[in-house]
Amino acid sequence: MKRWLLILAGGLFSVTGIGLETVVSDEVIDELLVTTCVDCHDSDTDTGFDITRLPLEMTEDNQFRKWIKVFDRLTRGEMPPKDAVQPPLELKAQALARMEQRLTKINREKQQVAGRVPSRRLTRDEYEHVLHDLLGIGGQIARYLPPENEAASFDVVADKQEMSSVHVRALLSAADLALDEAIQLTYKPHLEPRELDYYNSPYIQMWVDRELRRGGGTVFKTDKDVVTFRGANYVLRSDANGMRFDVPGQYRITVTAAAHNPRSSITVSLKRQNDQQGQSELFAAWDLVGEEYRTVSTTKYLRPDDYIYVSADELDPAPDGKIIYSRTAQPASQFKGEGVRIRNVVVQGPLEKVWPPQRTRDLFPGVRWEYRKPETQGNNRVYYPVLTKQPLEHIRDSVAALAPRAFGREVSTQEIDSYVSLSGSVLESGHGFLEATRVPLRAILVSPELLFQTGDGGVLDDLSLAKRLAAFLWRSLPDQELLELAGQKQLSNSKVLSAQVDRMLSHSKSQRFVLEFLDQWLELRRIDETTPDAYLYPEYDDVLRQAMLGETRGFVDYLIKANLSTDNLIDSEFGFLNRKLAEHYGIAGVLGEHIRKVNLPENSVRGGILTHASIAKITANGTVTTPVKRGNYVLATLLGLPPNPPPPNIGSIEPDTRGATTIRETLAKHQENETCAVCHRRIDPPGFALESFDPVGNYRERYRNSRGVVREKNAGLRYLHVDYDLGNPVDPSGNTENGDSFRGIRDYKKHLLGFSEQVARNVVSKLVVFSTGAEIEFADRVEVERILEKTKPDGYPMRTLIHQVVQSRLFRER
Amino acid sequence: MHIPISRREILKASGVLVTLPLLEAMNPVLLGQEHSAPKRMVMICSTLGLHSPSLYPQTTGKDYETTEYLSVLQEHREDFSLFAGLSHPEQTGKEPHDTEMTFLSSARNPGLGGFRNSISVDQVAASHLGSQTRFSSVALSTEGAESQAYTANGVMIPAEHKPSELFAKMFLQGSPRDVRRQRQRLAEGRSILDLVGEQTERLQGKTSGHDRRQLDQYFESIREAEKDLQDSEAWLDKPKPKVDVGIPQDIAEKADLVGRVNSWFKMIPLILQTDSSRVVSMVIQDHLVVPSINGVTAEHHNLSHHGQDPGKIRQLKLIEKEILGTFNQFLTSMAQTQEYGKRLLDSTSVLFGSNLGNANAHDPRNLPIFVAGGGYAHGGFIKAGEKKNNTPLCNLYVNLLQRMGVETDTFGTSEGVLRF
Repeated sequence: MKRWLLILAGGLFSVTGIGLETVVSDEVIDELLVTTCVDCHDSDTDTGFDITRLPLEMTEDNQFRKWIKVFDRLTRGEMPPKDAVQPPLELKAQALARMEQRLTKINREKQQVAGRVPSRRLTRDEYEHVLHDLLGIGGQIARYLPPENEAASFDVVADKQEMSSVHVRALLSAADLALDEAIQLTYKPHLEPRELDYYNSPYIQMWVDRELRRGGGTVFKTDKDVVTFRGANYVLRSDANGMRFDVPGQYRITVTAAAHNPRSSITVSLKRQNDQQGQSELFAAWDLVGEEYRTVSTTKYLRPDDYIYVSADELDPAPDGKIIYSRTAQPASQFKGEGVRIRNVVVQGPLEKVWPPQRTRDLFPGVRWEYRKPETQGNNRVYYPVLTKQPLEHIRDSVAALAPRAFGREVSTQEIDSYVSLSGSVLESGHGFLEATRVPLRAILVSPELLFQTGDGGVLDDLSLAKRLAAFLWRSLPDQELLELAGQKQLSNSKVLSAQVDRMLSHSKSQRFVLEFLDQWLELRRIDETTPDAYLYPEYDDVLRQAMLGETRGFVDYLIKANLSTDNLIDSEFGFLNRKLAEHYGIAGVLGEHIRKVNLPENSVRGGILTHASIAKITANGTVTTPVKRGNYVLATLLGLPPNPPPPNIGSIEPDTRGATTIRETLAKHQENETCAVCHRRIDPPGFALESFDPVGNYRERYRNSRGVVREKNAGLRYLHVDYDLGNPVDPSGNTENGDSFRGIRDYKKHLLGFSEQVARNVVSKLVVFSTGAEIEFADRVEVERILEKTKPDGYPMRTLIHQVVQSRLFRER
Repeated sequence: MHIPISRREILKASGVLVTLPLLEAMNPVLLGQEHSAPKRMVMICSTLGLHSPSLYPQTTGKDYETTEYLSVLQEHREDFSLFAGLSHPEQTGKEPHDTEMTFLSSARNPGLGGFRNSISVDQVAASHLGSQTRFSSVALSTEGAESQAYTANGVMIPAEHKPSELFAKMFLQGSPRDVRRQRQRLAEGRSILDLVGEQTERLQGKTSGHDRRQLDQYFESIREAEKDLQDSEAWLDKPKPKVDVGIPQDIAEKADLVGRVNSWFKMIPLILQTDSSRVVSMVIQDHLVVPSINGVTAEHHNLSHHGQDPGKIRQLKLIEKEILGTFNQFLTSMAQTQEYGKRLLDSTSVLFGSNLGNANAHDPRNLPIFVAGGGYAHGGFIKAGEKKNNTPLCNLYVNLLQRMGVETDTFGTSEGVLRF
C-alpha cells in the first residue's frame, strides 16, 4: 500500500504536466494506447471497454469521464495488469502528462463558460434553518419535505438534487406550517415559572396507592420526593400530571433530584415524547452522585402535542438481578436497587417577554394587537390586529420587512407590488387581514431567489459570496454584517473574508455545519439504522448513544477551533468523553455528564475517529461486525479512496456462521479468488484491525456469544437481561496490502499515519464539495493539491484548511 | 431508542378496524359511473426477501406440492401464481439494500455514481389513469417515508406511513369550515405558484444553459403542482366516500411489525372499493427492532443474514410466515369484498414479492414473486427463467400494465411480455 501511495502522490494529482513547455503531441497518447491497451480493449474485447472507439478529442461528457478513468487507472498502476506487457516508462510519463494537460484544459474551458456549479437548491436541512432564522421559530420543518437522495457525496451537490411537483407542494405546506408557528395569537400562556408538581399529582398518587396485583406500586413517595425506577415513564408524563405546553416555543425545564440507593454515579434523564411521532427524544441526561440533591436545567423546544418526563431508564435494575416490583411479590418501595428521588420539576416557558410574541409582531410591523373575548367556543384565537391604515398598506409593510431579509438585498417597489397583489382577492373574498397577509409572505418563502443559489458564471459577486459562505458555515442566510460587507464590496477582500470565516466559526450557528457535515461525511446520521440485540449489548442506551455522537462532533469541532492537524483523525492523544462514555471505554477519573476533552492514558487503544464508539456502531451490522463494511469505511470515508463496487453478478460470499467457522475463515475465500482478491486485499485488512471494537464500540478481546436465553416478549424496562458469555478470541491482526503485518488497531493506526496527506486531501475535497455544491472535477485537482502543498508544513491544520478552501478559486468562482 | 410508553394494549382494547361491509350506494363517487369494476393494481414488496428453500416447490405447473410457506396461503391456491427465475438485471448498487429503490423501476446500479432512478411501474399506471380518482396513486410504508414509487424524473413520492393520516385525507369529510379553508388554501397556493412561476421564468432568462437545469425543473414542477392543486380543488366539490369503520390508530410500537402490516392490509380494500385510488404500492420495511412475534429474539435484518445457522433460520421463518399470514388475510378480504357482482380481487392485480432473492448474501437475483387476482388464470408455479440466467421481472410488469389498460410492450428493462 505504501508503494502505491508513492505512485499516487507522484502522479495522480501531480501538477507537473501543466504549464510545462512540451513538444509532445497527441501521438504519444496514441502510441501508449496502441502498445499497451488495445490488446485487450479493442472491438473484440470481452472487457466491455473498447478504447479504439474513444476519440482523442475528449470533449464529449461521457468520453471525458472515460478518459479520466483511463488516466487514473494508468496512473495508479492498476492498468495494464501486472502480468501484461508494461509500457516503456518514458512513454507512459509523456502520454500521461499530455493527457493530464488536455483533460485539465477541456475541463477548465467548460467551467469558464458554464461555471463549475450549476444553480443549487437549499437542502431540506438548510431550508429549515433559513425559516428558523427568518421567522424566529424552532419547530421541525425538514421532515415535511421529501428526503434528499443519496446519490452524491453530499445533499448539496446540485447535479444530483431533485425537484418535482411533490417538492413544490411540500415547500408550500412547509412555509404554511412555519407561518402557523410564527403567528401566535392564542391566550397568553404562563410566562412565569410553574411547577410540574409530581408530588401532589393525583395521577401519581393513583399509582402509588393502587394495589400491587392491579399494576400499582411502581413508584413511591417519601416525605418530600417521588422515587422512580427504570421503566416507570408512563407515571411521570407531564400531560397526565397536569402540565401541557399550549404554544410552541422554547421552554426551560429545571429538575432537582438525588440518587436513591446509589452504588455509584447514576444517570437521570429528561425525555420528550410525542405520540404522533412515536419516538422518544432524549433531551438531557445528568449524573447524580451520592445522595446529594442536584438542580440542573435545560432549554428545549416543545410543541403543544409534546409531553416530557423525568426518567430513570438508564439505571441498572438491581444488583441481584431481581426485578423492581412484581405483582405478586414486592412494591417498588421495597426494592433495593438504584432509583431517582425527584424533589421538584419547574418549567418556564414559552420563553417570551411579550405576548403576542416578538416574532409575531415582527411579521406585522406597525400593527397593534388587541385582546378580545372569543365569540365562539373552542376558538383559541384571542388577539386581533388593530389597523391604522388601509389593510393593503399594512400588508405592503409586512412584505417590505420580510423580502429584503429573505433575499439579502433591497427590494424594489415594483417587486413589493407584485407580492402585495396576491392579497387583493383574499381581502375581497372576506378572509380577513391575517389570511391576506400570509399569502405574499408564503410566496416569499417559496420564491426561487430564496430557494436557489444562482447567478452569473465567473468570480462570485459579493452578495453571492456572502450567500455561499453563510450556507457553508451556518447552513442558512447571511446575517446583517455579511450583507453590509457585501454591500460595500468588502467581503471579496481576502483579509475581510478571512476575518468573517473566523467570526462565523465562533458563532453558535457553526454547530449546524459541524453536525450536518459530519452527519453526511462520517455518516453519523446512520447511527440508528441498526439496533444491537438488547440482551447481548445491554449497555447500549439513549444516553450512551448521545455521548457517542457527542464525542465525534466535539472532537472534530475542537480540531477546527484549536486548528489541529487532520492527523488527529487517524490517531490522537485525546478524546471527548463524559463519565458514561469514559466508563464504556474503561477510562477512569472522568466525572459528570458534560463531554469534554480528555487526555487518553498512554497505550490506550482510543484516539482518532476510527476508535470512536459512534463509528464502531455505524459500521456494524446490528449485532455483528463485518470487516468488509468497516474496511470499506476506512478506505472510502477516511481516505477518500473508495474501492470499486463488485463486478456485476459476482454476488457476495454467503455468510455461514454454523460450526466453528470464524469471520476470518469466511473472508479467507476473498483471497482464494483473484477477482475478489484484487480489491479485498485492500478492503479487508483495516476491517480486521477494527474487529477489536464490538458493535457498540467496546474494546473486546473475545466475542460475546449468546447463551440462548429466551427473549421475553414485551419484557419492558423493568427487567434487564444479560445473555452472553465470552467466546472465541478476536484476531485483529493482518497484513496490509503491501505485506506489512500489524497486530491490531494501534499498529494499524501507525500504518495509516503514513497516509496523512491522503487523509488531508480527502478532508479538503469533502470541504470543497460541501461548501460549493459540486463534486471535485478533474481541473479542480490542481487547486486541491495547491492547498495541500501550502498547509503541509503545518501538518494540515483543520481551521486553516477551511480558510484555504474559502479563499480558493473553487469557492470564489461560480 | 425505545418506546417507553406502550400503546399496544390501548390499541387492542379499542378494536381497530372491523372488516368492511360497505354498500356501494354509500359511495357517492361510484354512483352513476361505470358499471363494471375498474382495473386496479397493488404492488407489495417485503424488503428482506423470503427464505427460498421454505418457499419453492420442486415441481412446476398446477400440481406442485405445497411447501412450508405456501401452506400459509393454501386457501388461496387458485387465486395466485408463484414465479421463480425473475429479477432486474445489473442491480449491483452502492449499498446492498439499495435495490429497494429499484424494485418497481428496474433502473440499473442503484446509488452508484451517475445513478438516477427511472419511473416506477405503479406510476406508469397512475399517469395512464390520470385524475379519474381522488388519489392517482397511493404509496404506503410500514415505517418511514421511503417508498418505491418514483416519478418520471426519478423523484421518490414520499410514502404514507400513518394509517390515521391517510384515512383522514381519504374518508373524513371535514366541517364546512374546514372545506372552505382548504379551498381557500388551494386557491392561495395556485396564485402563489403563479407569481413564483413568473419569477422563475425571469430568473431562467438571466441564467446560462448549464446553470438552468434546476430552475427549469422548478418551473416545470410549479406548473405540475398548479395542475395538481387544480385537480384537488375539483375533488373538493365531490363528497368523500363514507366508510363505516373508525379511524385506524397508528401503531407507535416499532416491534409490532405484524400490526403495522395489517393496518395497511385492512385499508387497501377500502381504498380500492371506494375508488379513492386504483394504484397502490406498499413497502414492508425492516423496523430495526426485534419484532414482537413469539419465539423471535433478534432483529429481522440480522436474522435475514442467518449464515445458515438453523436457529436463526427458524426465527426468520417465524417472521416470514407471519408476514405471509397477513398477506393471506389480505387476499381473503379482497376475495370477500364484492362489487358489481364480482370479487374485488378479480379486478385487482396484486403483486407480492421482494427486492432480494437471497437476503443472506444480498443477492438481488431469483426474486420471490407472487401475482394474485387481476382476473388471471392462476394456480400454478411458474419457472419464468433459469436460476443462472433470470428473465427480466419487467416482462411481468409489462403484462400487469397491459391489464391496467396501458398500451405498451415495454417497461424498464423488459425484453418482452411474460404471459401466463
